[in-house]
Order: sequence, then structure tokens, then C-alpha cells
Amino acid sequence: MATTVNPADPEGPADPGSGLGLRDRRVPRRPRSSGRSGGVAGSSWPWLLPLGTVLLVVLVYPVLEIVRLSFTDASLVTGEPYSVTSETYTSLVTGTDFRHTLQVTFLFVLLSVVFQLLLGLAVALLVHGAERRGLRGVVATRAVVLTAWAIPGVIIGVIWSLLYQETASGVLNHGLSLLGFSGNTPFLSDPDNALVSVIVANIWRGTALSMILCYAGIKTVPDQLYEAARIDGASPVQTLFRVTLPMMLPILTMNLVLATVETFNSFDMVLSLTGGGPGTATQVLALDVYDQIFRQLNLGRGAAMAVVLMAVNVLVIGLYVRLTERQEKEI
Amino acid sequence: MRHPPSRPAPSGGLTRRHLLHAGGAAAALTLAPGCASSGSGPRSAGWQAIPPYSLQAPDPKRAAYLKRRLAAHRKRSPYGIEPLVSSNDTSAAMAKLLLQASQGRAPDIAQVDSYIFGRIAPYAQPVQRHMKRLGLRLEDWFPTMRREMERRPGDVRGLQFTSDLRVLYYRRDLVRTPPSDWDEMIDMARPLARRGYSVLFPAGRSEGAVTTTLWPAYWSQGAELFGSDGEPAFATGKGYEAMRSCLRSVERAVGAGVVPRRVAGFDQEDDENPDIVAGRVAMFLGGSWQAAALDGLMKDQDFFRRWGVAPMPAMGGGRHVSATGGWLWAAFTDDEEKIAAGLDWVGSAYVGDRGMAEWCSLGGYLPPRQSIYGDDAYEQDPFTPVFREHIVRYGRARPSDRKYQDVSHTLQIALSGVASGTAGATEALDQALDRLVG
Repeated sequence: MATTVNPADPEGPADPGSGLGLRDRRVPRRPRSSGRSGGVAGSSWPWLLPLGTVLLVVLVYPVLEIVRLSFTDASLVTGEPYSVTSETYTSLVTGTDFRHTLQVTFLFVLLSVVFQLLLGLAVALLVHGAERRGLRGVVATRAVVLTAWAIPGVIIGVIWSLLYQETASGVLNHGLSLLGFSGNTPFLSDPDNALVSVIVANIWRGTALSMILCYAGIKTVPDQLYEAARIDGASPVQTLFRVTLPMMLPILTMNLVLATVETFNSFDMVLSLTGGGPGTATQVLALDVYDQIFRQLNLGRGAAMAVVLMAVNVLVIGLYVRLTERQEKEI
Repeated sequence: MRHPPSRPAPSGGLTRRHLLHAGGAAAALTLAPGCASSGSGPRSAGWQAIPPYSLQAPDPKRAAYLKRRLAAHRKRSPYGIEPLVSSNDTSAAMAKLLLQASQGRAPDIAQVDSYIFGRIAPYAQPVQRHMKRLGLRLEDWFPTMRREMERRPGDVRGLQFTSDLRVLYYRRDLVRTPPSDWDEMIDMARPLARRGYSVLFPAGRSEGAVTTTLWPAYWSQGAELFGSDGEPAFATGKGYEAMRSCLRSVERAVGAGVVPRRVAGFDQEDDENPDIVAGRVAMFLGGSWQAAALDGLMKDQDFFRRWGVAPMPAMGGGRHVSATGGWLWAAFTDDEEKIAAGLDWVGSAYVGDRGMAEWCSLGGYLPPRQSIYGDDAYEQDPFTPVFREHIVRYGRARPSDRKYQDVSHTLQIALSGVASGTAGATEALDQALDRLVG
């Protein structure tokens, strides 16, 4: 059984007979300082202060300011009068538009994340399998997939808008016309098609990061386990579900959370691809925040939406922390 | 792990402290020029433009013109010009400029879209005293634009240097008499649609879409976007009915198949161009600048022969209204010397007689100053006299009310929703009001 040693613990391991010579190398015990008697020299505060100050300035203060602004009807223009009101939240709850935005956002996130994870895992398994068989082109494949991750969202939006062009000169429509279809599929102007088109583009974008994480996860699985599974006569499917996936569970959970948070916050690609339209068919929450603040100049309402977005993200991260804790306890 | 005790450095050697001091001094020297007062070196005025109007213009002719002008200006002016470029996303760029202006951080001279100028004007400096020096007369501007430039009569806060307006373009061989109103346009378009010719208008989520497709039709009914209290005037009563009838006409045009649904994705008027060049369009609502562009795009360059121009279709009755637009220069610094230097530059390149004539010719814009139409340097196309007449007879600027951006954005969504079939006219309008009023 492995003994855990905490180097910060001046008493060393709890078991005095554990040997390891640690007791001999123990740092002479210094009196524990209290804030009152030992001054700042022995306190941890001077070490935490710089980081604490940075966090206060760049994280805590902006968050508090956003929360404060969310209870006002302030505009983006400095100096214009505004009043404190809870109307911003009331209008979000009672209005149909915000409900619709949430519906679109959750659908966008759900489908994007599910397919990003599945495709990312599939590509990672393929790359790993090819690597084990010593096939050529594995590095090139990884590099190509990574390219999608490196391209900025706005550029991805522009690329896909060219693909989706709704005339015969559009790449996809031209391809469809060669297959005997009309060649005039309204990828972006039909409300239902538009959401699907945006989701497909986002899956393409996010699969790369998902693949990187899954690939890293697969590499952590010891070869001995595969060997043992092979000796036990496990089929490839059984190996996948009994060995690979359980071993990858922590990284899959992290992948799920990262993909979910990133997709909730995603707006750049949607902005350049559809701008949220037609109508509000592809209006996701992050884009609505941007529109409210920077196009409609409604800082108060935009801040209220931002608070909702932040709450959703905090909830997702909170679930992740709980899940991770439970997994660690089980281990 | 224990760190070895620090040893005293031999005298004359480099210690970590010495290195830190040297690094600090180097950093201070690097940052020092940034802290110098603005009067300590050659003085310059910041000049901010959107990309197509800047030295980074994608059109090489425009970029070459501006480079030539700026080089000439630098030779004769002791004051430097520091070029700044804002975003291509003009809505975001204007929102940022408004924020900067309200915080006193706007560039010395900046380009402002006419639709937002009313909100920015309180932060802009008066420029009328410089107009005489530059040889400019306020009366020379079209009245509709003059009202945009003035905060109050005589208090000029911006110099408009380009203008445009919206018209109905129609194919002469397909449409004998251009329609006067929307109903007539839809009826005339039905048989043409069966022959494969469509009608186009921008109905995406953009300022251009509402300015071309919605506002003229709405105004043609005698309705206003805002009441005297600055609140939207289409929430109830006559305004509501007028706005609904506009959206219904869009719904009907798309439903009848005379307008393709993909117009819901047309953010700019220029998005219509590929269809027009391909010969699939019988009529379209567009901007005055499109004529020259389309003539250049067409193989045989016969746009002016094949196409005609008519007033924007009204919504019932014969009261035509067209929305005008354009760009202004405004000064935000309170340094009079900088204002003078900045206005000298924009005067020479964009606003003065030669500057406006050449810039408007290059970009296909309509000069906002009436005298420029008689200037030899201004290259007119066959439609220019018609556009000029339309500005005078039907031209109307967008309101500068505080809530205009909010109203425009929500109705852009409504227009796009109706055109795409996401919502019916009434539903889209009610949702827009929900977003506005909450």
C-alpha cells in the first residue's frame, strides 16, 4: 500500500515506523505564528495578497458590477440617467423572446456537446488504433483535426457561410445538385435548417478539442489492461466499454464540462454565420447579451442576461466539481 | 529543499538586485515617451474611419486616392494626421464610438453613421466656425441632411460627406410601368415569378434591411417611429396598424412566391447583386450606390440601359418616402488646433469641393452638397439626376431618438422573422414590442 506523504506537514507521515528516512531530514519545527503575535512574517497573507488583488480587480469587481448593472435600466452611454429596477429580470421572465432564446440555446448546446463528444471520441479512437497498428499519417491526421480548433470562430462562420450559400454556386448546394437534388436548399434562411446548420458548424469546430482531450485520455490507459482484456478474450467492443471508457471517465467528464461551458459562451461563429437569424431562429444566449449591450445599447437588460448566462455556467461547473469529488471518493 | 544562503556579491559584480534595477530603468525608459505631454513632440490629430473609408480600403483606387491626398496634406500642414481604423461591423463600431464619446475618449476626428449621429452630436464639438475657413456653406447641404448635422439651428456638430437613398429598380423589358405601391408590386410580380423572375429586398437582421424595406413603407402611411415623448409610436393605434401592414406585405410577398425566402438572410442591399447580375430579378428595392456597382459587375455593362429607377413603393396611396443615409465627420477633441487640423484634412479629402467630388465619384455615393452636382470632377451616372430629385422630393433621415437603436434592432428581427416564415406579421410585431417594452 502506498504511503502518502505531505511535504508541507512538519510532522511527517502519520506512521512513525514507515521509515523512508524522512524523520532524519525533517525541517526543525518553528513556532506557529498567529496573526497577533507572529506578525506578517509567518502569515500566508503576504503570499496570497498579489493573487487576491488580481482576482479582486479582474474577476470579483466586474462580476459584482455586472450584477449591480443588471438591476438598472442603464444604457451603454456613460452619463445618461438610469434608475434602479428589477424590471430587467421581470421582463426576461415574462417576455416570450428570452424564453425562446433559452430554448434555442439549450438545443444548440445539447446537440453540439453530444456530437462533439461522440465524434471527438470516435476520431481519437481511430487515431489511437492507427497508431497502435503503426499506420502512417497519424501525425498528419492529428494536425489536420487540430487546425479546426486553431481557426477563430469568426473565420469558421465565414467559411461555413460560403459552404451554405443558397444558390447553385454554394459549395454544398452545388454538391447536392450533382446528386440530383434541387441545389437551392435554404441552409440559412429557413429557420429550422438554420439552427441545424449552425449546430453542424459548431460540432465541426468543437470536435477538435474534444478529440485532443479524448486522445490524451486514451493515452493514459495502461497497455497492460488491453493486454489483460485480450488474454481474457474480450472483444473490441467489450474492451471499449469495460476498459477504455471507464478509465477515461474523468477526462470525459472534464471534456463534457469544457464543451458545455464553451458552447454556452459561444457567439462569434453564430454572429458571423447567421447573426442570430433568420428572425431569432439561431439567437443563442451569448449572442443575445452581445446584441443587447452593443447593438441595442441596453446595458441593464444585457447585464441581466449575462448574469443568467453566468449562473448557468456556474451550475455546470458546480456539477462537475460534485461529480469529480464523488469519483475521487469512489477511487 | 533548503536554499543555500545568499552570498554577498563581490564588489563590482552583478547581483540580482542590480539586474532588477537595470530592468526597471529600461522599462521606465521604454514607457517614458508614452507619458510625455502631447505638446512635447510634433503634434498630430487622430483620424478614425471605417475600413472602406480609410487607407486600408479594400478598393485599391480608394486607398491610392487617400494615400495621395494624405501625402499632399502632410506637405502643406505642420500638423500630423494619425490614421485610426474602426471595425467593419459598423453597428458595433458606432456603439463603441458612442461609448468612447460619452466617456471623453473618442478620437479627435471620427467618422459617424448618420443614423446614430443624433446621439453622438451632444459630445461632438461645434464646427460651424471652421466651415467658413474651409469655404463651406451650410445652405449647400440638402435640407434633410442639414437637419442631421445641426444639433440646434446654427449649431453644426458634423460635416456630412456622403449620402445615399433607396429606390425601386425595375427591368425595363419586364416592367412597363413601375408599381406605385406594395400591392401593385406584388400583383405585377406574380406572372413574372412564374417566368423565373423574382422581386428582391433586404430582410436580414441589419440596419440596411429596415432602412430599405421597412421605414419608407411605414413612413409612407404618415406614421412616425417615435412619439413626442421619445417612446416607440407603433406600440398601439395607428402606428401599430401601419407597422403591421408593412410586415404583412412582406409576408404576402414571400408567401406568394414573388420574393424568395432567402432574402431573410440579406443583410445588405449588396447581397442582392449576384441574383441581379445572373438575370433572375425583375425588380428590387436597393440603394443608390448599387447602380454604379452593378453596371461594373455586368458583363456588357448595360445596367443603365436595361434598368429603370422609380420612387420607393408606398403602402397604399401615392405618398412616396425614401430613407436617406450617409456618413459625417465629427470632432471630439476640445483642442481647437487639433479640430482645425483634423477638419483641414477631412476637408481636403472628403468634404471640400474637390474632395467630395472625387470621393463620391470613387465610391458611387451621392454628394450631400448640392453644388457638387455641377462640379466637373464629380462623375455622374445616368441615374444621378433622378437620385438627386428623389432626395429633395422623398428623402427622409432616420430619427435620432435615444431608443432608435433598440427599435431598429427589434424590428430587424421582426422583419427577418416574417421573411423567413419564423413568425407571422402580427406575432413578429408583438414579439418586437415585447423585447422593447418588456
